[in-house]
Amino acid sequence: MKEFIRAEHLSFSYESIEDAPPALYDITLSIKKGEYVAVLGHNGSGKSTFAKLLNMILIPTSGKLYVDGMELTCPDFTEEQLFALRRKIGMVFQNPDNQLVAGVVEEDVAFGLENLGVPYAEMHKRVKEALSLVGMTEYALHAPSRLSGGQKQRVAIAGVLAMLPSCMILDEATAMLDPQGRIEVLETVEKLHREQGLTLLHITHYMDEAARAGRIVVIHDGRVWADGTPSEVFARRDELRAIGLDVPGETEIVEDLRKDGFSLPAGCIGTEVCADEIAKALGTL
Amino acid sequence: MIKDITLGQYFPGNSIVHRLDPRMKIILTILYIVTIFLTKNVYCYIAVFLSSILLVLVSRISLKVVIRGIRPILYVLAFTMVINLFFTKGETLLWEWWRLHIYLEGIYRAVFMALRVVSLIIGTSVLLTYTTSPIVLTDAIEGLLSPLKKIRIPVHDFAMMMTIALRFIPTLIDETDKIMNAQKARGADFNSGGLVKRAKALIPILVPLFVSSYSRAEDLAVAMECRCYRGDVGRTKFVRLSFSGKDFVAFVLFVSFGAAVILANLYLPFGFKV
Repeated sequence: MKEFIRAEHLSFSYESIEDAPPALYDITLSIKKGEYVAVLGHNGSGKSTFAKLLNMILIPTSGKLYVDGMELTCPDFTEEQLFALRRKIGMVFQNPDNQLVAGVVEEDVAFGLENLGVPYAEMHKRVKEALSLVGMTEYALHAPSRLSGGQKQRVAIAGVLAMLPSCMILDEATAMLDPQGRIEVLETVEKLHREQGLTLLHITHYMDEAARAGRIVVIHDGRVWADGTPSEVFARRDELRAIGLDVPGETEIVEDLRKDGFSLPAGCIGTEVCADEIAKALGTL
Repeated sequence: MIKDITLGQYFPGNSIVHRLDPRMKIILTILYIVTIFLTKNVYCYIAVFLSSILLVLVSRISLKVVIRGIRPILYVLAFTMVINLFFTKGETLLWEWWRLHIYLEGIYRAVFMALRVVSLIIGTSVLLTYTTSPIVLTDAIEGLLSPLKKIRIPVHDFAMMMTIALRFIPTLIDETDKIMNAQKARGADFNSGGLVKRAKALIPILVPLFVSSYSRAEDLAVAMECRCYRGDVGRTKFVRLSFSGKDFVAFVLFVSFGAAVILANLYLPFGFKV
């Protein structure tokens, strides 16, 4: 697969805070087109800052950043390129209330298209498609304030999808939702990832959500602390715990049993997989 | 409790008044107000009042709702009527006591004044507030004012501000409710004491509300930028307003009505004028 995002020795520090350590330090990583990556870290680790660099809400202090062949850190980056970038990378934010602009769902979905100057007929077609992709067609004429948190986030996702992005970044988009809403949102974007090859970057501090991704990048104190498949990352449970991150409950049990001498594979993920592995291990006794 | 406050008083429906182009409705409302203020003749007062009732019937808004809309101004109305009744000087004296006089003209004037105010309120609320959602109204205002863009008045920006304000009213009401409950849980008392004490009790609500509104505004600005917002540059619109046959018919009707009122003022024989 083609490379979509490449960061080389990327650093960023907030100017407003003097003498503060850089929010991101010497980040080097590459994300391919169509990948599903979870960026994991606790509050203040710099994971959201990384997301904001990707569509130039923030500008890196040093290092190089490429998205889909464009160099974002190039000094003569034009405004047109900036809009092309923001169309390519859609972002869904944490607070569902603070990212919906219009008073009617379908008009909100159309907001990005209006800004891009998409013609009338095309715009209506795309809004309809986007709403049906997230399963919100029947709410097209509702006021966002009447929707649940999960539904609002799905509307926000539709607003991004209507712009036909190749990558979607969920910047802690599930953090303020109830468990039901979190599942709703994740299943919606994961379906798009599977069926349309959408590159998915999920920034989160929930371990069980990160476990759903194909790859986990752990950011700690502004540095890439680990980068690998969920199994590889969760196998380092004790180290994760030392930096304040807990592996999901079922993985925890498997790791505990492993420590006690049971023959179990490292970094089991998912309730069913873990249950099967434990059953197998018990069967061999 | 605070959630019960509805914004505006829009009643969704599918009557002909609901389906008129909102821009036309604004124009018609202005025409209607002008017509009411031109009225000088007894027939015209009756005609204007009947026309407002006709509007209610056509829009299929229930009379109950309309009457409820008038209720808040009943005191003002009664006051104006009394003032007009006792202090209009005319020719036919009917009753006199101390410094108070009632002339026939005073009675006419009081009644007509009441008819005028009531018609004004019924007419404008049926034409605009009851039958047009605030969101559509925003589009209409932007549409009507768009010629002003030529002289660099930022019409789009104002319309965007209005859209956002409307969008955030329910959100902020929710938040106010939450803050009030949080303060109540800490022992705050909003429902007792004099006016000054109650006003002071609101400060612990307003301060957190302001703070959170600022952080919301920042979030929203970032979200809008991410969706390529750059003001009115190369923008297309999702909602397209278009005048149709019924809009022109309504316009012609309202203009003729206004013209008829002017003519009646000039030529009708029962020339009782106030």
